Amino acid sequence: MSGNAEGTEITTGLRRVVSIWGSFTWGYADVGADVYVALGLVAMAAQGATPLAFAITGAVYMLIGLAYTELASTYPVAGGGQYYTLRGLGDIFGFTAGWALLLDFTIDVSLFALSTAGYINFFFPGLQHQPWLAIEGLVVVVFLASVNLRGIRESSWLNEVIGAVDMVSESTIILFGFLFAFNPSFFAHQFVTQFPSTHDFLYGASIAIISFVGLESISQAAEETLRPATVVPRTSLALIFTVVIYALSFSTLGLGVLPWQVIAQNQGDPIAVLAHHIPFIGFIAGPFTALLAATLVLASTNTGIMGYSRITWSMSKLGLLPQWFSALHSKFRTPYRTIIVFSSLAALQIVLASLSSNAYDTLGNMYAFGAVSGYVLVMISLIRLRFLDPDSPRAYKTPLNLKVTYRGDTVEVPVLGIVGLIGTVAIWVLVMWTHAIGRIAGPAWLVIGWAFYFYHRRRAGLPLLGTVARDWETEQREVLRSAGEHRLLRQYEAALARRQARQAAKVSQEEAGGDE
Amino acid sequence: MPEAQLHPFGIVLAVVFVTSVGSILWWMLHPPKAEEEAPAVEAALEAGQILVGFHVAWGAEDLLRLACELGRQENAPVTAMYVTEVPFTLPLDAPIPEEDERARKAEERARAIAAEYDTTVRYVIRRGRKAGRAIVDASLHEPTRTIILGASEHLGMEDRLFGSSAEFVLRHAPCQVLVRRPARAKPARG
Repeated sequence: MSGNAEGTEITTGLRRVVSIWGSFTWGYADVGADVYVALGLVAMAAQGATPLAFAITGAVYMLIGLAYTELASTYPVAGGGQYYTLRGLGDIFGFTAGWALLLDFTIDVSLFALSTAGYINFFFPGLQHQPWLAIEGLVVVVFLASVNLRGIRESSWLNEVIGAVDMVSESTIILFGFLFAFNPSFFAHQFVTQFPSTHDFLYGASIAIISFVGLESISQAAEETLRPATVVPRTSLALIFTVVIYALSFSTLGLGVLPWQVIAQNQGDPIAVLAHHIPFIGFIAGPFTALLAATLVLASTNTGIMGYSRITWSMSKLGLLPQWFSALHSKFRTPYRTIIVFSSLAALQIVLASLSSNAYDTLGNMYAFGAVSGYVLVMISLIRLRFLDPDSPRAYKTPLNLKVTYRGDTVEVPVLGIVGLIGTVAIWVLVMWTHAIGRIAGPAWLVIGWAFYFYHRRRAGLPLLGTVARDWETEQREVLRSAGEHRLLRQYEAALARRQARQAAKVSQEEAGGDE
Repeated sequence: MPEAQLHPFGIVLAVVFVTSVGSILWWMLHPPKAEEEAPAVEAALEAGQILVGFHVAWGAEDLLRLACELGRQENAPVTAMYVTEVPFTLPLDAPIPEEDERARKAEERARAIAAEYDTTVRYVIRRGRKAGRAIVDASLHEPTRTIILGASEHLGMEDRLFGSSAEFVLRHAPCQVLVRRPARAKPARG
């Protein structure tokens, strides 16, 4: 007897594992955790105007979020911001965006490890100061780095459960808080009489951006979501709006229940302190929120480790970083060099930040610089890609577009993208102006990165300032095929065929003109 | 306990909050239906394939023999699936040469076994975060009547925390599932 064997199918991209809820909570575990850290920091600077600071930055964040939604659903690949920037602006800018986001991911790990310690110390108030916070933070980093060195293969389920429990708990606190604890007169009194100085308010607004960092998770989830063109716009728009609603609700509720000084004094666990002051549920909500927040920020810390592992891998694949970073551990098959190098950097950042007068604020400064620098380049790329790559089907487009003719093609210019770019640049200027540490350490990080980039490109024989030629059309076809987006693939093929026909007609027209 | 105070403005904010978050989540969770729906379960049970996971650690050879035997009896095609598990620190398409080589060797062994049976066998090497999810996913998108896979008694920390692949398949597969566990060694007498 002989078997009837067929050829082997090798499938590399299995995108069907992450559900709608999974895709949403993937981002929520990252961005949703930010408010737990940001509220105290923003209150310290923006004082009675804390909700206004969140509102202004939230508006800019929504515009950035719309850009990410369009880009993630158009290019559902690993790499996120640096990939979009590389496609839109070329290698050196792609590296710059990726390097800035790498800073963000390492700061994410440091800041959230420290915050995990802060929320755990809700139960041990005697440890809510240095050096204990730093020691606990270091333990968190070492623990998570070790776990990731061995390789985590189950994360979506964990995010889904933590995300659901967290949303229910946060909603309960806000609901009970508005119903039974919110005092509008007290809120108005603080807003009117304790409005900060212009410098402090702008500092607060610029630091508020850290409650909206983590949009990279949208692109990471997009890579593993079935039908990303349909699902990703929904999950990311839902993520953007819910995160803004929660940030505005917590800041409004906070100032309607507690003096801003109390929130500012408890930077390690501001939401737990707020929850503790809510009638009926406060006695249980305080400790429960502390425990939940510790879990959520721990998950967010882990997202940071996975984030820099993936972005480094993507950058080395695209020739922006040496292949050395993408080497895998012989036993665990994990990118151990990346995990060790950047986790060590995160640990170092905790130590250095703990030497400053306010470790949270120091890390928050750097976090804001890295995020905003990356976002500026992504916003420019959104606009440029509309011109460079009008053929890739956009399942979602940022609203309000202006049709213009460019080299014979009709191109839709994203008006909100331009407004978002202006807003992002404004926040970047604020960060540079008001953040004493961010304006020195942030650019220093970029300069070190560029030096490393030029050294690597020279050794690898790649253009220093130029861009390596890549076959984006073939890659886009493969991306759409592996994502199961067959309808979009047909649209893409049709658009390419139309373009070729137009170019052929133009050439024959020119030839005919030449003959005459 | 802090004193409760009910204020109309607070009530309005609470209502606005619940309505906005609730409506956003409802909208998100109700996308338009996909063009291609999953095959009907009844039809799949009658006409579908037999899907067998042939990961080495699962006693692949015995599983494949069982699948081929069943395929011959029921005149059903057999799909032998090997899942390369990729950790979350890497994108799914990251090259892992050692794992690819392991998958290829497992496939060679599977082909040698399948050659003994008069059954059509298709080989699929797939990448996923967890083998269990990948197998269930395949069964949801291709008509499948039976899934055959093995289970290990020795679970790692992650399996203990989140459940093993076999457990996941048993809970989520749309078809019947056969799980084979290796026999325990008999204790030595005397």
